[in-house]
Amino acid sequence: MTVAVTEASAPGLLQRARGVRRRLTVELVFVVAVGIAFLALEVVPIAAAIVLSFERSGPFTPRASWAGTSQYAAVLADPVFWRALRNGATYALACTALQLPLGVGAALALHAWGSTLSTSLALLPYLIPTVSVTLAWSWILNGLYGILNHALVGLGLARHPIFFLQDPRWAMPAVVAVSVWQFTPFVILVTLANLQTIPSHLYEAARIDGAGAFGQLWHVTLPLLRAPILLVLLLRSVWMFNRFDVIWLLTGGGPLHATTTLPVYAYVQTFENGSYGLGAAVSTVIFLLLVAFGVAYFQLVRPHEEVIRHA
Amino acid sequence: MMTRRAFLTSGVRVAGLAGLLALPRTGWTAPKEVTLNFLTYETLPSTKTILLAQFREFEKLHPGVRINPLFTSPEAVRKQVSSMLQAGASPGVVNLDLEDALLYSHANVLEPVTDVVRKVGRIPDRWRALVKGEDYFVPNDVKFTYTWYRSDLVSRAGITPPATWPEFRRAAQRLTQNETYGYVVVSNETGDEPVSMLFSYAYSNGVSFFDDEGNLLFDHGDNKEALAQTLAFFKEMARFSPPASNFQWGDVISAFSSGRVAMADYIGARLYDVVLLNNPQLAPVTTPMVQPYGRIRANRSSIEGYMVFRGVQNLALAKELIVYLHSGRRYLEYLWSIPLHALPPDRSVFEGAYQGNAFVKSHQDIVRVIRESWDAAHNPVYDLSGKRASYVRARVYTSTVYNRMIARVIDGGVSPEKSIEQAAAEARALLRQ
Repeated sequence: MTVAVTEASAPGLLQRARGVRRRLTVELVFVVAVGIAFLALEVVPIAAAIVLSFERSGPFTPRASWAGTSQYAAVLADPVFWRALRNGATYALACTALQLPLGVGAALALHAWGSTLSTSLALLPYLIPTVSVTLAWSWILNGLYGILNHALVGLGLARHPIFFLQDPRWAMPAVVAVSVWQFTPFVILVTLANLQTIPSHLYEAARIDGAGAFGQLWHVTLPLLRAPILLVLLLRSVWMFNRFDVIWLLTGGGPLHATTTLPVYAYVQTFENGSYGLGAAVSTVIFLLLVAFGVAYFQLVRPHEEVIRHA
Repeated sequence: MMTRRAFLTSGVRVAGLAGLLALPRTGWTAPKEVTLNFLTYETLPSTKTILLAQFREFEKLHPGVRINPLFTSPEAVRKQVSSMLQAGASPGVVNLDLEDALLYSHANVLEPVTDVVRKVGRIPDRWRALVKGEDYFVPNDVKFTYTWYRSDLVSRAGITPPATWPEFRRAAQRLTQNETYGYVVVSNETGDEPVSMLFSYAYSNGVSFFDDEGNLLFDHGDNKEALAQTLAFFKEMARFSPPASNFQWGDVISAFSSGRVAMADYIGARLYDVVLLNNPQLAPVTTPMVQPYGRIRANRSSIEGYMVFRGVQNLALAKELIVYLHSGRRYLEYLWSIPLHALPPDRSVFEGAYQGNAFVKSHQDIVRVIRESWDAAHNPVYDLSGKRASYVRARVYTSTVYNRMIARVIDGGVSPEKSIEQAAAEARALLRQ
């Protein structure tokens, strides 16, 4: 009996072993492919940028020469660098702090009452190219012929036009406002997608337990949105800290560095002042700051545990 | 039904085929085929049309040659050149400014074009990138800085067009009303607009920035005093200007053509061309005048031209293309496509064949201002009284050192003297790099 069973299962085992081997081969191919892509697209450029930060080089330099840590010293000694760091933190913090409640609020409203049209309209700003958005907003905010100033003065809310993008007091709030307008739809999108995955029986159970609309929101919706919100918090903070296009196109980092952030500062060093080394040093500092932020975030918030807890 | 193995195998084959097709074409083309990159920042549609037609003619005359043009902004051209150089590729033939030619020749990435300059002929020495006896730049056109004003507002205010700084200040003050600003002072920290304007006024106040040996002059003696006066003049004029810390050339034009600014400086006549296109009602009252002067009659000139980068696929052909674009009627058609803005560097051409254009004939007020500005024009690589083109001057001029010097005074309330000293320290640090 035993012999018969063994004889009967031997080909099956062999086939299964071949199947496992084939699957492992395929998986290995994919892992190696991803590994090569990661190496080529992530590790090599980062390593090249770090090496560049120790070299004196640029489009007008006959040949690159070793600079040691002098470029880091020059960057850290520049008050504009510290101003840019502060501005970047302010910008990222303000944008994220406004985008999250607005985005989650809008997603809840759209989930409850929205139609396909209203949802599409709410997501529209995120789909428009940043160049078009900033051009339109720079006209709207223009102090000479902008429609916003026309309205403010016309309605008696301002005595004189406000030069939003040229006044040091207004430049940062204006840049934050435009960024919030454009990037809040990302939060809406993620929140809306997650709202649609919440099982309806949880709301039914909450209703049976006597929870009203607010109770359902507080005890069911928000706890289940915690994980995606924490992820969005990380993504939005990093993306806003790294944002270059909106600021560069609206203010160029001015007036008097009022909106200069680290990416803008790195760009100016690289392309306006023709120093690849200084630009690379700033980029390396940005990279290290974001790595530190990411590590701290994962240690403190542990979003992966949140996901597992709610899975 | 397709098995997984068959699916993967066919996938790999398709990817391989796609990869082969995407290989750089140079590996597959016959050796006779040549592609010449041509980068320029003259993006006016009329200029683009003329140039593209001339490229097609050139390609017809040279079978197997393809010209690959890129029309974009000066900043984008410079960025593209930087990226290509960093990647080890040749940018080919590039149309940029005299300052750029000095910088790239210093980096040893340009081919000498002395033979082309000789063939094109009659290029004034003060507009050449002559380094160790070799030319690295073929000047294509020249522009001068002058001032545009609204003649209706000026006559309504009962004043005459200002010629000197004190008159200019008074005029700006008189013209600043509720809805209108007298003038525009640009103070962005990265673009070339404020630096161009500062140099034009600093030259007219007798400022020399560097000597021919590359020694810094602007932070001591008479030069410092004259530069401080210029910055103080800017600061005063900023009282009659809209805040313009993020203005670029286009914003200066928009401010003027929207009717909100009564006087504005510009390099060349593009401001007028745009007013004519966008607000034709203003064109009859948009009038040029020689830029008001401080101690001497002087202004800044801009010299645009061609340079050929090392590693170009066919050097002889690249040079031939430049000569081709520079010859006879073809060259005039290019200049007339931006009428009275891009001018021939050879004054005899300007006074001769160039005057045959209808627009030029009908805008003699602009021609008069150009004539008056011509001999008083100085380029930053030669400075006010330099005899040799200097890399050092070009390096500091194209950095953001002078931008910050202006912004500190206009937007930051720093005294001109302090700002000059800081700029001098920054310039020295930049040159040490």
